Amino acid sequence: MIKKILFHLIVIGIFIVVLFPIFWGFLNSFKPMSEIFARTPRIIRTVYTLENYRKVFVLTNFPRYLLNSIILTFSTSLIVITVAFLGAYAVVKYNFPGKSLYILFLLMLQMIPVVVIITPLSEIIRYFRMYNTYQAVIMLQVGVSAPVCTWLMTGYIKEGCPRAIEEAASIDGCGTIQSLFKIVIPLTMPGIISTLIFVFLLSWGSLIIPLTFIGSDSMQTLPLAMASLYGAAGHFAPPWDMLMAISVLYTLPVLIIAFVLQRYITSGFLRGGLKF
Amino acid sequence: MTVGDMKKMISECLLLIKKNKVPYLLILPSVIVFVGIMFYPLAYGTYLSFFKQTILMPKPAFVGLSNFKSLFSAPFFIGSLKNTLIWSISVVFFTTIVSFSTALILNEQLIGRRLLRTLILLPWIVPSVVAATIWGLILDARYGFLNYLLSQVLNIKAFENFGWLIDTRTSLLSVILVQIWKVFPFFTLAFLAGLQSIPEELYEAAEMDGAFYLDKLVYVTLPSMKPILFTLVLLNVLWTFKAFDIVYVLTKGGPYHSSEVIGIYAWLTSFFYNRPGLGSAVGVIIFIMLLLFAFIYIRHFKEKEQS
Repeated sequence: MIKKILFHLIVIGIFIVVLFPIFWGFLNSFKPMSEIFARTPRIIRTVYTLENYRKVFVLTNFPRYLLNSIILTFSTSLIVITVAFLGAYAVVKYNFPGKSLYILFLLMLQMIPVVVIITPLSEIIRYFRMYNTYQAVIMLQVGVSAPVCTWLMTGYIKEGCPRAIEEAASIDGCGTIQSLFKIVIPLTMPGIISTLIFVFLLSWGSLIIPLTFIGSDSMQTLPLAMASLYGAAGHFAPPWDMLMAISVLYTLPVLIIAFVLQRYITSGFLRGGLKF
Repeated sequence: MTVGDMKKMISECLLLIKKNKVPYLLILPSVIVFVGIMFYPLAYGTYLSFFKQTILMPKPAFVGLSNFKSLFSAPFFIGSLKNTLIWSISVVFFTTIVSFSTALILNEQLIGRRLLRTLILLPWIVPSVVAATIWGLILDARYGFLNYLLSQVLNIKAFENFGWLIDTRTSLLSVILVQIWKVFPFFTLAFLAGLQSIPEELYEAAEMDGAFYLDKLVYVTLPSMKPILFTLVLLNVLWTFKAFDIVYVLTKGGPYHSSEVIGIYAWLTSFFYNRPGLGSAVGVIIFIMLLLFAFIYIRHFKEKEQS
């Protein structure tokens, strides 16, 4: 019995340590700079305020950054899910010459770190005068996420939509396109949502592509703006109060999605993605 | 080969394409993406690595393998390789241990187990820039919670105002810590899924042979987890090479290149020091290193499996 209590205490201890940074960031977003700088950080006998959030909206271009992030993330997600679904559908349902090569590419391309191709991409983008444009960032983010997402989708389609069902449908007189919409998509919807969440999170948190291809303040995405705000301080202390507030605002959509759609995250891509 | 032969080949190809036009059409968007954004840049990057360009030169000049030669005698490049080695091995090793242990814990009968399994994902869900920023505050020399904990609560005065991120001795360690924190939940859940797929009968059989917890762990759990372990370690190594955000935000390569992992080195070379030829060369080297690693790793374990 004591063993069990002890065990539970250890577990709680571990979780407190692991989740502390998130709690700390959240807490500090409501503390004025003076409290963040206090010699002894306190939780109760301290001042709380919404001033940081006001500062974020007044002193930074936050709404613009948010808009940029939203536009880029949504565009990327929609394009990727379409491309991935089509490719995955072909892999699962058809046999065609070059299929194994295509699958090999899906696996190999996942391995390429962005940093390897970012220099040539930079030259290409500049050649086409697409530096500092939405199109460039979206294209590149799509390119980087597509192999993984296509691979994930093949797992989901295989799992969710066995041949038998489609055959039964075609016997009942269902055309290929009809069966696509009425059968395949509804059956693989959990997988589609999981992949959508995956590419959404990937794109929402992406730093290196916006960092390399965005040059003006008004085009910045939230992660880029945060990194700039943090780094621009140089030898002086970064504006922790605003950084924490932006962190909370920036993380909020992610937390909401993760909470509401958690089953698609925990059960979803872990299962589908590890089926090698 | 006669003209007639070539015509035959082409018409056969066209017939093949026509027969398979549906799947080819379906994979066309993804193929365009792959070729345009991955293959072509990869090839172009290799091409670029044979050129040298500085601000003083009007046009890039072909220098053959000179970029690669100068890299291998560049102290900061060798340094970044060393850092990357330490970084990769530490992150993968400790992440595996931490996540596997956590998975074992979460596999037990615990109160609120489902809640815990959801909560454990938080570090991984939080965007990497946010994670880096918050840890930047925690590790801050003067206002960070870690130093408060160490110097005032635990009274280890050596850590009063200690600059974890700005001291060359600890900058790499610090970013490794943050990376592990960020990444381990994914592996925890992956291991957990694996643990739950081990059939009960194996444990029951072991118990009948008089096995205690440690025995069950070593003789049932670990062997069953070997394939998953193999995949996850490979995945983690690939991810550590991709890792950029956390190191960039926290140290940008650290004081005097002390936390400069190779990804950071490549990016800074191209975009901060403005040497795209060199940067491309580093990229090529990273790619080759990854290929070699994957090849050797998979070969090694395929052999082990067969023996």
